Amino acid sequence: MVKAGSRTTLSVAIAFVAIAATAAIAQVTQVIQVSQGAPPGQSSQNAAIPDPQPGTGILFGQAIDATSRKPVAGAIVTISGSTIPVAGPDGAMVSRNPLATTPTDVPRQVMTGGTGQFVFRALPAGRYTLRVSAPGYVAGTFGQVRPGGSGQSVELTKDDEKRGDLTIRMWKTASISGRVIDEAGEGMIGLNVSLIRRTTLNGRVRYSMDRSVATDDRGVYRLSGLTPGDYAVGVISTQATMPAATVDAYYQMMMSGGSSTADLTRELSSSDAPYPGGSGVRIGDFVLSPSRGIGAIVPTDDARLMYATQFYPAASAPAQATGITLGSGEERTGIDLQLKPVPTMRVSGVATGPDGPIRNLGLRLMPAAAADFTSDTSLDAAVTATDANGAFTFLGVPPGQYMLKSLRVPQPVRTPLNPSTMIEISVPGGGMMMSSSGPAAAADVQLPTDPTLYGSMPLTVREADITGLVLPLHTGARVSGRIVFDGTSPPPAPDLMRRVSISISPVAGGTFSGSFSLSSSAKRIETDGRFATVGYAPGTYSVSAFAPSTPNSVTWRFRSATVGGKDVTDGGLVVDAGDVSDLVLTFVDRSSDVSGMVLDAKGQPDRTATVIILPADSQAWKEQGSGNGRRVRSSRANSNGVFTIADLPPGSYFIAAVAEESLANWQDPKTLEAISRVATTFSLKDGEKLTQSLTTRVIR
Amino acid sequence: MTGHGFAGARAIVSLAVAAAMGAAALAQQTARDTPIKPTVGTSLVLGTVTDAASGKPLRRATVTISLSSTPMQRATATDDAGRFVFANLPAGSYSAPRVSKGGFVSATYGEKRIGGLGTPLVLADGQRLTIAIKLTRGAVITGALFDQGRPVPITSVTATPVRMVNGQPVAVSGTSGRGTTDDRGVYRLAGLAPGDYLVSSSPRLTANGDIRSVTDDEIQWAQRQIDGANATNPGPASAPPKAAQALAYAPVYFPGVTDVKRATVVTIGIGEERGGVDFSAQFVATSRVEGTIIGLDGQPALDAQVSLVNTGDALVGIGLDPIMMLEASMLHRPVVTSGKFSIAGVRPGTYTVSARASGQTGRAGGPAPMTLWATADVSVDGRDVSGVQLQLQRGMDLSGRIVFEGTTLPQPADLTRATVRLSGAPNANGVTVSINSPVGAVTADGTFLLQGVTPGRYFFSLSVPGIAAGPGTLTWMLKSIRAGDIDVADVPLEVLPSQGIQDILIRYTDQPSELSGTLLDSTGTPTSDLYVMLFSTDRSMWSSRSRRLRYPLRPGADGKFKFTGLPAGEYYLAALSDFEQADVPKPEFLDQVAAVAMKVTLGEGEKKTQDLKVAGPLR
Repeated sequence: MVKAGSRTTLSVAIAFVAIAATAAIAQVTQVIQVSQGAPPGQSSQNAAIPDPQPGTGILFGQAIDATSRKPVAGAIVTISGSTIPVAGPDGAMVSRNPLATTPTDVPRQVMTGGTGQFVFRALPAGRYTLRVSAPGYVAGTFGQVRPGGSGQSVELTKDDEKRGDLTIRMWKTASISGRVIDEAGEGMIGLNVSLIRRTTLNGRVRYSMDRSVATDDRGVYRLSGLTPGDYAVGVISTQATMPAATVDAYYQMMMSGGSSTADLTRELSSSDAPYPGGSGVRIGDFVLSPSRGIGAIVPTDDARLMYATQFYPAASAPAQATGITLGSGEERTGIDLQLKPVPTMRVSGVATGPDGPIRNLGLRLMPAAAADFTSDTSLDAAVTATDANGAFTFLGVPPGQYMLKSLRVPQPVRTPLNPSTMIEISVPGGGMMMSSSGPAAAADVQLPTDPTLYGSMPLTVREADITGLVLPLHTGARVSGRIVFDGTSPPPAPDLMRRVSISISPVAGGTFSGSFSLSSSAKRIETDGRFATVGYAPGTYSVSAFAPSTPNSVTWRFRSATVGGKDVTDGGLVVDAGDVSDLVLTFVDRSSDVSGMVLDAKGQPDRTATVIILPADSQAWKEQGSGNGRRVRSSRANSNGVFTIADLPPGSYFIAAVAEESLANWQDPKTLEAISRVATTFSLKDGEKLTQSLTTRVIR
Repeated sequence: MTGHGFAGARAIVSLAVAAAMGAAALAQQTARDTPIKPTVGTSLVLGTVTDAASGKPLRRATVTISLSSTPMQRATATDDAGRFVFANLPAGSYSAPRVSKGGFVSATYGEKRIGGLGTPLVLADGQRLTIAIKLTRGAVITGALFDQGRPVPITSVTATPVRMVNGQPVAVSGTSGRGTTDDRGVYRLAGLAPGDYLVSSSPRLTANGDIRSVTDDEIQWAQRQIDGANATNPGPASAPPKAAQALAYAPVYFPGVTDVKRATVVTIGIGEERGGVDFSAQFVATSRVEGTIIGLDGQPALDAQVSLVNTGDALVGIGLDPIMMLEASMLHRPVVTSGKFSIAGVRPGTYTVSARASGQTGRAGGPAPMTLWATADVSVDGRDVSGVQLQLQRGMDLSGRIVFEGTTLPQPADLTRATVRLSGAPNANGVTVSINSPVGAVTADGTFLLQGVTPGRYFFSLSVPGIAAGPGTLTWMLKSIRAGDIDVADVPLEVLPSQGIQDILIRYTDQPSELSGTLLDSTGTPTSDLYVMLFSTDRSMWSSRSRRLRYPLRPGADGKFKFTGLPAGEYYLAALSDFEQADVPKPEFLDQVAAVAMKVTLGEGEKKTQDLKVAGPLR
C-alpha cells in the first residue's frame, strides 16, 4: 500500500549499453526508484492552511551496536516527517509534512563520526521517523528492539521541544559462503546461488526469494549483508526451450529493419514466454537456453543430461533442504553444493483455446514445491512457447511433480505519458546510458480487446517422455465497476480521478498467485469514475485502491470494495467463469482512528510496547493467522508511550498492548489467540476518533 | 592528444601496399531476389579447445558461432575431451567462432593476439571444417576497498586495460574486469588478459542527496541545548553552528587517489593472481545548485523540468562506473517548485543545467509538447551555487522529406511507422549528451517535422520499418541526408538559435555501393593475416559516426573482404598488421595509414572489386 504523502514516486529507468565502434559489448539494466518533489503545476488546493514554520526542536542521539553497545561510526541517519492529515478550515482533512519548509542548509541526512552521535535541529512539532543504515549492519529504524522488528516514531509536541536520549540500536549483518562444484569437482563459475528466506505466514511455513549472488572464478560464493533469520541456499535451474522456427522468424524480422519484431515480442511477452533473441543450443527443431552459468547441456549424443534445481546440500525442494539459522553478525562458511547432471525428459503437447490452437503462447512447468513460496517468480523448472500450430515442447525436464500452467494477459496500448526528461550520455571508449524521469502521469490506457486466457494441469514426470498433452485454455472473466467518493469534500479533479490506482491481485495459494501480469494488468478509469479491466483467471483476489493526493489536498482513503452490495474488502473478490460488472470501490474523506496512552504495570508511560488490534470476529484470524488484513493491525507506541492507529474500518475489535520483544512471530494464530485473551474490546463508528488507554500485558 | 602520443602505442604498422591487382571491375548490378536463407544446412564445424599453457583439453567451454549476415548465434559446449561440433550449418560466411570458459580469457578463432580480431569462416555446402582454439588462463586482481578502515560493501570495482602514453594511462580496447565488493569490502576480478590495468571504484553512499557529517561543534551545541532545556532556568538559546558541507564519495583509483594521473597501474602476467590490491574511498564536498526558470512572458515557468548533466573532465575519467556517471547527472533529483529549482549533492566539476517546458498549462487531450528550452553552464567547486537564471526560449522546427530513389525495390508500404530522431553529437571531450532527443513522426508521403529542437550538434537516427525483406535480401540503404550543402549522414547537423531548417532531404537508394576484394601476400597467395581498412580521403569525414570511416576488419581464410553501404567518393584502402581500436578515428593515426594506402574511387551504386597485395614479407 502506498502511503499518502506529498511526495510523488517516480520511476527512473536506466539502461547502460556499452558501445564500441564495432560491436555491442554488454548490456545492463537497472531500475532505480527515486522520489521527487511534487510535480509542478499542482498548487495547493487549500491555500488557507499555512505550511508549518521551522521550529527550534532538536532530536539528538546515538547509533550503537545492539550487541556490543559500542557506537557505530559512519552510520547515515535520515529524518523524515510523517505526513499527518490535519483538519483544514472547511473541516476536511488535508496532508501536511512538518519538514516541508525546512531551510536547505539544515541537514536532514547526516553521517555519524566516531561517537555514533547525530543531531537534527530546527524541527517543528510533528511526528518523525529516524532511519539508519551503515555498512555491515542491517538497515533499521529508531525504536527497534530486534533486527527486522518494527521501529517507532518520535513525536515532538511543541515547536521547541528538545530530545537528547535517542539511542538507535543496530544489528550486524550475517553471511553464508561456500563453493559450488560440478560432477567432476570443477568449480562452477558465474552460477547464481539463491538465498531463500523461511518465514511463518498465515500459520504456514513459507519461502521467499531473498537475493542471489554469482560464484566467482573458483566457484566460490558469499551471500552477505543478511538479516538474521532462517534460510535455505540453492541453485535454481530453468531450462528455456523455444521453437527454432520462432527464433529464426524473430531474426529475420529484426534484419528487415524498424520495429517489426514488436508484434511477435508483444505476443510472446503477454504470456511470459522466453525471449526469442537469446543465444542457445540447437537441439533438433528447438533452441535451448540455460539459466545463467548453469550450462545448457552436458554434451552427449542426445542432449539429455542436465543440471536440475538443487538446494543445500542435495534436496530438490527447500522443505527438504538443511536450514541455516543465522544470528546477528554470524559468518557461516562451508555451505558447499555439488551439482550432478540428471537424465531429463521431454514434455510436449498442444495448447488450445476457444478458437483452436494458440500460437506463440508461453507455458511454464512449475515444481510442486513452488506452492510453498510466497511468489513463484523465477522458480520455473522449464519454460517454453508454442509454435505457429499451437504445439509445445519442454526440453530438459527432470522427473518430478509439476503444475503445467499458461496465462496470457493481453497488454494495453498506452498513449504517451506526461512529458518526461530523457537523458542519454555516451563517453569515448564505450558506455552509453539513458535515463528518464517524469511525474507519474494519468496514462490514457486503451484496454485490449483480446481476452485473457488461462489453463493449468498437474503433471507427474517419470523416467519417460510425455507426448500428446492437450492443455485447454479458457477465457478469463472481465471485471468492471465504478469508483465512489463518499464525503462532504469535493471529489478529486478528473485528471486525479484517472490516476487512482486500482489493485486486483491474486491471493497466495491459488494456481496463478504471484502472477505479475495479473496483478499489474491494465485498468482503464474514466473521468466519471467508471472503470474496466482485462480478464482474470478464476481465483480469489484482494482488491484495494489508492487515490493520489497533492500537497494540502483532501486525503481520500480507500474504505471498501463491494460486489452486488456484498463487501469483499477483507474476504476477497472471488472470480469464476462469469464477468463481474458491479465492483464498487468507495473512498471516504474521513478516518476512524484509535489512539491513546500505553502505561506499564507501575502506571508510567510504556515506550517499548506494541499495540495489536484484531477483529472481534475471531474467524477472520483464528485459522489463517493475521494475513495482511487492514483489520489486523500493529503499531509501536511512540517514544512518549502514545499509540495511534489511523484509518481503521468501523467495527468491533480486540485491542492489547504487549512487549515488542514478545512479538517475533505474532502473525502465528497461536500468538494471536494469546493476545486476544489479554485484550479488551471496543467498537468504532464511521469517522469516530476513539481514545483508549491501555496497560501493557504479558502474553504466554 | 598530440602527434607523438603514439610513441607508447601498441605496435601499429601500416604495411606498404602494392598497386592494384587487376582492373577494378564494375560489377553489373542485378537485383537479387534472394530467398530467405535456410537455417539448416549440410556443413559441419568441429574442433577442440585446449589450455594454451598445458595443452590439456578444456571441458564445458562455451563455443559460439554466427552467420555474418545475422546476429543470431548458435552455442554449444565442449565435452570431457574438449571437443565440440556444430552440425547442419547452412553454407555461408560466419564470424570467427568464439570460445569462453569461466576463469579463462575468451578467445576468437584465428586471433593473432589476445583480444585481436579473429578469422571469419566461409563454409561451402557439405564442407567439414576442423578448427582448434587455445584458451589462456585468466589473471586475477583481488583486494579490498576501505573507508577510514571500515570495509565498503556492495560497491563495484573495475579493472580497465590501459597503456602508458607519455607517462599517462590511456584506456585501450579490451575486456575490463568488473566485480562487486562483499561485506568485508573484498572484490575479485577474474578472467583478465595479461597487461596493464587501472583499478577504480565509484562508491555510492547508501542514501540519496545531501549528506553531512555530524561535527563536534554540533554535538556540543546540541548537548548544551538539551542541558539548558532541562535546567530550571534555561539560558538564551544560542545560534546553531554551521553544518558541515554536504559530502559524497569521489571516484577513486588504486592506490586511493582521486586524480587519474596519480593512479598506480597494476601489471599482471598470464594467469597471475595478484592479491592485496587494497585502497581507500575518498570523500569530496558537494554543492547545491539553485536558480530560477523564467518563461517567455517573464514570469516563473510552472511546468518546467530541469536536468543537470556533467559535461566536464570527470566523465572522461578512465574506468569509472557508468552508474556513478549517471548519478552525477540524474540522481541529483532536481526539485522544481513554482519556477525555482534546487539540486543537491553536486560533486565538483563542470555541468550544464537544462530546463524544458511546454509554456502551456491545462491543455485538454494530453500533455503539451515541451518545445521551450534553456541551458546554463555551471562550474562547481565544493561551494553552493545560487542565482542560476534559465530564460526559456522557443525551440527550432526542422522539416523535410524522405525519398526512395529505386529502380528495383518497392517503396516501404507504410511510412507512417517510420520515425526521424536526432541524437546529440559528441563534444570536444568525446562526450555525447542528449536531453530529450527530438523525435518527429513521418507522414505517408514521407514528410517529417521535428518541433522544439534545442540548439546543438546532432546526428540523425532513422527507423524505417520495411526497408528490408529479410537477411540476405536487397535492402534500401541510406544514401544521404542533405541539409543545405552538407551531407549530415556523416557529419553533425548544426542547429543554431532562432534558425529553423527546412527542406532536409533524406534519400534512400536500392543501389548500394560496395567494395570487395582479396588480400594477397607478396607471393600473390590469399591471406587472412592482416587487417583491411577503408576510409574517405576527405578529412572532414573522419569521425567515428561517419559511414566513410570503416574500422579495420579481418579477411576470411580465403583472403576475401567486403565493405558494403558505402557512399560514393574517393577512399583510402590499406592493410594493417595491428591496430588499437581507440586510435582508429584519430587523425594522427589515419594520416599514418593514409601515407601507405592506395586510393580507390567508388561511383554511385558501383560494386567494385579491388584486390590488395602486400609489398613486403608479413610480420
